[in-house]
Amino acid sequence: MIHEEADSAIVKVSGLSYSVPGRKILNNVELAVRKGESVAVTGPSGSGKSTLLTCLLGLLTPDSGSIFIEGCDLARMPARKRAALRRRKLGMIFQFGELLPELSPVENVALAGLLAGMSKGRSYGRAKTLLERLGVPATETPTGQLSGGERQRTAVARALIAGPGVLLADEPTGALDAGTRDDVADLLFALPRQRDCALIVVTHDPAVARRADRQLLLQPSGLTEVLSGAH
Amino acid sequence: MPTDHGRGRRLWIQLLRVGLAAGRGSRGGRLRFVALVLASMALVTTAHAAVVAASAYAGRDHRDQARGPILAKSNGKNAAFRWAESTDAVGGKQHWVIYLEPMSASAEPPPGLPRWPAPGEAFLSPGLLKAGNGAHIRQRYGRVVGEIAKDGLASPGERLVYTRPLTAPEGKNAKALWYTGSGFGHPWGIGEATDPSPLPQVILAIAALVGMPALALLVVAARCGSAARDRRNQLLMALGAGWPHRALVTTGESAAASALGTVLGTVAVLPMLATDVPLPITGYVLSAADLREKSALLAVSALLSFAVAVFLVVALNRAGSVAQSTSPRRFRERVPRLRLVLFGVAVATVVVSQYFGGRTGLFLFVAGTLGVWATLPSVGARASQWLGAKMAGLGNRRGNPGLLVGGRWTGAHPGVIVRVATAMIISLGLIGQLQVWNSRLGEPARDARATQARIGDQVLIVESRDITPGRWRDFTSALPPQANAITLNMSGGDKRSVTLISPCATFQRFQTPCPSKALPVPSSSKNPQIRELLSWYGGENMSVQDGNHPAGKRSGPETIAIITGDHVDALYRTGVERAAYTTLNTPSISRLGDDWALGAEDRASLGHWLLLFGIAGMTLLILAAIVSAAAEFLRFGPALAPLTALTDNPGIYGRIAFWHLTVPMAMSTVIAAVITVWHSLFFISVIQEGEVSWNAMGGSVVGGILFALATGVLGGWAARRTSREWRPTAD
Repeated sequence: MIHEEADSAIVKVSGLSYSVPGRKILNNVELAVRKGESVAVTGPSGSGKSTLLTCLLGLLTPDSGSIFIEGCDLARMPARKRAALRRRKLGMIFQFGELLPELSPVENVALAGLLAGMSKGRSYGRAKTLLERLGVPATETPTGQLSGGERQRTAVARALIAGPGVLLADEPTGALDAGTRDDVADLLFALPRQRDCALIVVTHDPAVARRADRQLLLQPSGLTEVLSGAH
Repeated sequence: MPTDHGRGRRLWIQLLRVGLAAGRGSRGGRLRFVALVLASMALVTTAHAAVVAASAYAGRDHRDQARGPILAKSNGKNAAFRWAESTDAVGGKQHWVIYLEPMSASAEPPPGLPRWPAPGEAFLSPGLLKAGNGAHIRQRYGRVVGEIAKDGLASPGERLVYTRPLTAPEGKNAKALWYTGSGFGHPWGIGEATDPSPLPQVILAIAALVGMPALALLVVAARCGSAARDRRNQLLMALGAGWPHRALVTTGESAAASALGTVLGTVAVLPMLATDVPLPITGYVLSAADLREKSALLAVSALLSFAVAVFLVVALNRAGSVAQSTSPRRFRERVPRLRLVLFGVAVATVVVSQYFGGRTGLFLFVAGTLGVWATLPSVGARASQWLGAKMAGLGNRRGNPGLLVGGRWTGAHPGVIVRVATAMIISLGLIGQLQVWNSRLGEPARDARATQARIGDQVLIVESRDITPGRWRDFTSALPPQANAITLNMSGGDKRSVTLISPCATFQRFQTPCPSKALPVPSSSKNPQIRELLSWYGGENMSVQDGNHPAGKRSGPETIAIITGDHVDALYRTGVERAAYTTLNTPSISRLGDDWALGAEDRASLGHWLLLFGIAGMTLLILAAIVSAAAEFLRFGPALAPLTALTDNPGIYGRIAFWHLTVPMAMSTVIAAVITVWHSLFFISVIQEGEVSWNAMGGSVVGGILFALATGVLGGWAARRTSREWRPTAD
């Protein structure tokens, strides 16, 4: 199934392996994700879910295999080109948001736009629009004083500002209560269709994973499809 | 089975071990360890400095008493020796010359002398022999037959002379000039023992100039990496640990570093127990024997200092400092209004101090200054919040990420800027005060130095008593060939008019009409040496009298000017001094204006002590600033690292560091310099002396700005380095 979809995939991973001294974390991982599609990667603790995401983000260089993002092989690129590709084509949402707590939500989101080379007017304009659509008060309140859900929605807005083709989310609801988790998950899984991008979510939470178009289980043998029949 | 008592003891040890492990494993643990070692070293060094001062004073007082003459009974029955005093100077520093004349064969010489000097012999202290080497000191007082031993000196470096005139004291002034002693062992006040600074004042200066900065360094070191410690304390609290348990963990974390610092600080003092050590800047030589007497006190001060260091670290990480919220810690939005009001009151006190003058003015100035320094951090925090908001606003308007993040950080975390800026302001303040203190000369001292710079030893003043025709003849024939002796006769002793007495040939040599009636001083002579002499002794009128020195009719000292028109060197002065010491009765030789110049030099030597303590204190404050800045890098790097997912431009870290660290610190330096200059000018107006050194201030500002730049560059580099290693983690 993965091979059938591979040709039209915006993200295409094949034969990906990564190890640290004394331990193999990723072993021959294969993955393909199309535009408009959401994929949830689950697996037990220590199975390498976050490592896979970090490889997709270009922050770790795999031992072997390839990672194609919109046709560019991330694994073969020098660090500077990887960073440029990350800035243009990838958006990342972390478990704890990783926002700068001293900045207001608008500033946090606009900062990503400014750093991606967008004009000042466009960065602040898009930041305000995104936050408004995601239901975050665009006030001068420092982000550190927002609720967990508001912070995570701000992180989503930040990931979206540069219009990335691929959204990566690492346990995006891991630090939220059940109600807020559902709100954020609804928002997140609606994005691929709304914005014609691919979404890869790493999660422990089966309730969150079930919302994805496809669920994959990361095991020592590699990534395998979970046929839950949800979709 | 272990008893409850046994378990309690194990818990005690266990908690200390937990602390030790936490210190090793925590982020920034190494920095905190080094900072605590340095702070404990500084604290123990301060405590040891107080012990060293106490030992030096005790030894000096003891030896001063041992060498002071006990006056003989008025009937002279128990008289053993005669004793007279005068002063001399080498290199602008005054020393005492003691004249001795034994009256009994069995009389004991003063401590430090193996025997009484024979007529024309002298014993000199090693300190004077060393200092006067270039000034041919060995030829000044007669034949040098030995050195004064340490038990006869206030300190090993004291400058002192014991000499015996060639001829026994005689003349009608002899009785007034010479004391008769029966032995030694009475507090008298000789040489260094006349030092006007009492011990409590010295200890207060050490405490204020070195102790306070040492405490500041300890506070910074104790709170270094406090976020992790506060979190750990919170966890311990949640697990049911009381404050003694948390105190034990904190003790375990800090005790090793504090102990190491205390040991290193103590080890640094140990050589002073073995050998006499000269202190930098002041040149004062500390006696090892005196310190050995107080070695037990050194051990006590080390233990106390260690205890204080550990206690303060525990107190500074007490329960109240534990964050009660899971939200990120933020500086309190509002600085208490009272602190700002107090700052205003302190500034106003400094301003009004100039209208009081004297002790009241000085008291108000010092109180206002301490108030300004104490409330400065609060004002700095408010200013930092304001500056941060302005910078962030500008960053938003311009779409400048570095300015935006740097501004928001400066507003939200003013602590680092306040700590560094306060250290800079106090350092600059100290530099300013010490520089102004050292520059306060006063008009007469400035004139004296100008005179001495113009004519050097070309005019020397010799004062003596009972100058008989024979002594005069011996003296003038012993003078160097180019020297001319002129007697000064001040009418009424008020120096308002003076008569110069010498053969007319001498005056003609110095372009001065002879003989003459009284003339106004400004038009009396064209000769520069005579004009300088008259500017100090002439008053309004002078006259010139042809003839020799009038034979010893005066009671009290007589004044002779030794003049030469030639360029002279140190050997010339030694020649004049030797002639005086070998022929005249207890002479005193000085340059024109020495009363003022040497007084200023004495004051400068007090300034040297302040400079020594001040430099030590400033070094500690700067260390505190560096530790504080380094701790900031620990926060700065990880906080910015996630930006790595947003940008491919590593320069952003440097730009944020520039706006967050360099710009506020550089602004603090400039503001600190303005405050210091303003403050120094008020100080000058209160004491009516001194001047601001723009070179010193400029150098300090350049140094401060370079420090700010270095801090920014290092901060940017640390963040960039951390960002390269950063990986997203999910708990």
